[in-house]
Amino acid sequence: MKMTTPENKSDAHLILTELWAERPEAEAGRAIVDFLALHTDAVHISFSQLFAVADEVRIKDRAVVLNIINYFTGADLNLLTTGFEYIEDETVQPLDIEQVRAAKFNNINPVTGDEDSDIGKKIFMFFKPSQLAKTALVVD
Amino acid sequence: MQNLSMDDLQALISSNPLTRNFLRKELVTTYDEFVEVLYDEMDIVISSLEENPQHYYDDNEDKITHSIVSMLKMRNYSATQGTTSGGNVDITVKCINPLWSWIGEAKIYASLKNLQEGFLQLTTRYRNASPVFASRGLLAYTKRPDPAAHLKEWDEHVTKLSLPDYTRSECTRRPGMAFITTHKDSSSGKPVKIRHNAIALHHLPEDRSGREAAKYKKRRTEKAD
Repeated sequence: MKMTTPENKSDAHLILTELWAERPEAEAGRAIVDFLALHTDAVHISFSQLFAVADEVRIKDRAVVLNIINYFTGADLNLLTTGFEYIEDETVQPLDIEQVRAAKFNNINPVTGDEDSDIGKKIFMFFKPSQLAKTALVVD
Repeated sequence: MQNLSMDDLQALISSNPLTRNFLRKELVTTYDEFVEVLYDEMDIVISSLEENPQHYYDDNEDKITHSIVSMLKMRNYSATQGTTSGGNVDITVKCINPLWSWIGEAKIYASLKNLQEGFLQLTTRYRNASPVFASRGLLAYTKRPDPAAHLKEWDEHVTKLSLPDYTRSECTRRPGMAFITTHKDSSSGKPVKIRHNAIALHHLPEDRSGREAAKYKKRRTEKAD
């Protein structure tokens, strides 16, 4: 099994097929690759957008889509870069990893600095095309 | 469709063996955390092998390793087999940070001698991406019965090697089936941490169909390779 650095969209499709074979993650992954290829300049992609993309190829199982999102955020075929943001009422604020860690592990609200037992409901993960996606997926 | 908060996401992934550590991986900031999460993932992979040893008993070392590598890739690691780094490393695992790697040597544990060869490759030939971040693993595919007893024998053998600055501790994740050592690397002079794992792949059913199946009859008359 070789290191997986695609040079174009077709390579990315092939890598997905080689690893996931007949599993539905392969189909969901190809749909997300095609979506990213059309949106390489996107700055904010939500989970719900990626669920909708998979839904278009009749992949409705959220676990399957999460499997492939998790895969794309990792080092094997890194097509998605993750970010975090705080959203409450009208407040929307980007967060760095230390703020998210403090919230996740110590329930610290990154805006107020106070303990907040509901903080997990106010922090959202989002995605951007990775550098690899921006360079490889624009090539057919 | 509503978006997912961190709590929503955690609820969705907690029972999924492929994604249960998704958030933890995103929040890793140190090499030790990378290794901690990797071992959580690795143990899920190992347990899936041990749950179905009939699928792996007849496989050779490379084929079993290939299965592990594929399962790690699905968990979002860059996992490769035979990558050159001082030699052809059986398993190399990397994450987004290019300085962090974990390397593993896999052997079918047929004797102390062949495991010793793997250990020497792991400790004197192969290299991590950085000598400062040097966790490694020995994967002993054990097709003989009673892997814990065989691992204990190996444990005693390693202790007798008198490695410099040697320490040894129990692995609380897989008690009896893994232990952890550290010693001073002969090349870099830095500490190397190794988890020694026995992976239980013995399979010889004694029920009626097991007694009568030709492959098991053959297996009874020969030693596992």
